[in-house]
Amino acid sequence: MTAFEEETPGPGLAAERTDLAWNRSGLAFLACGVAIMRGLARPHLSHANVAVGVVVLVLGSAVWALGGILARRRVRVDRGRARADATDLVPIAIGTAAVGIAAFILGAFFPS
Amino acid sequence: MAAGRLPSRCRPVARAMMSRMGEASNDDARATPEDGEPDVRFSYANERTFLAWIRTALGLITAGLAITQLLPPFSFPGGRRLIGLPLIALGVAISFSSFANWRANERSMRRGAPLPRSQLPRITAIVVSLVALIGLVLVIVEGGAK
Repeated sequence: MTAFEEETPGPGLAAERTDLAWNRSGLAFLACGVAIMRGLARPHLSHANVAVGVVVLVLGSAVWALGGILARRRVRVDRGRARADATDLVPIAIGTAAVGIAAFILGAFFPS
Repeated sequence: MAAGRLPSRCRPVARAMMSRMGEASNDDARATPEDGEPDVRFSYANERTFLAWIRTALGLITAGLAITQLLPPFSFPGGRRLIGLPLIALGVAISFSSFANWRANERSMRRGAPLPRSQLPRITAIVVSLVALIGLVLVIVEGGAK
């Protein structure tokens, strides 16, 4: 820890909470992906479910990675200056909406 | 060289450099908004709120999907879809409007204006209550049928 980090109250814990929130969000995507694939152990998976599930799992990993990148940016140089902006968050909002639309189609037309 | 003489844009960097050299005073350690930028902790809080709504949306989508695809069918035709699909639709609506709320909050904070009122909690409460009521009716009817 540098002198700067020790002496500046800064956003410290707020940044950490935010990183944890990103992790939880990534996990929520992963849980959603697994639910869409209905557990890998199940024998009868529709192709549509597997395809959507894989996309959601990839999305979850991306969210996790983005959270990590933001957190690193915040800790390193001149922390407090690294705010998430629209280009960080738009893909997540659109990705979630796309997952929802895919889930709607799966639920409406592939009830199983 | 004093940090105060630099253009204000450079001040945080200069301050960080100076305090790394062990010249930090108590004044330098204060976290204050600069150049109309809100305190970064408020931005982080706004970001976490966005993420919390995204998780809520994902939870609703996951639940709706589990209801339509994993639950054994009700004897009432389309019963699973009746409770599952509104939840998923709500999840889609939340994922869009959570971003709109995040942006509106960020703008208000920059202007120093009061934060806009969000309609999301009310809408979420109404839809979830309605779905819960329909689910309750379905379960009661189903129980009577057996």
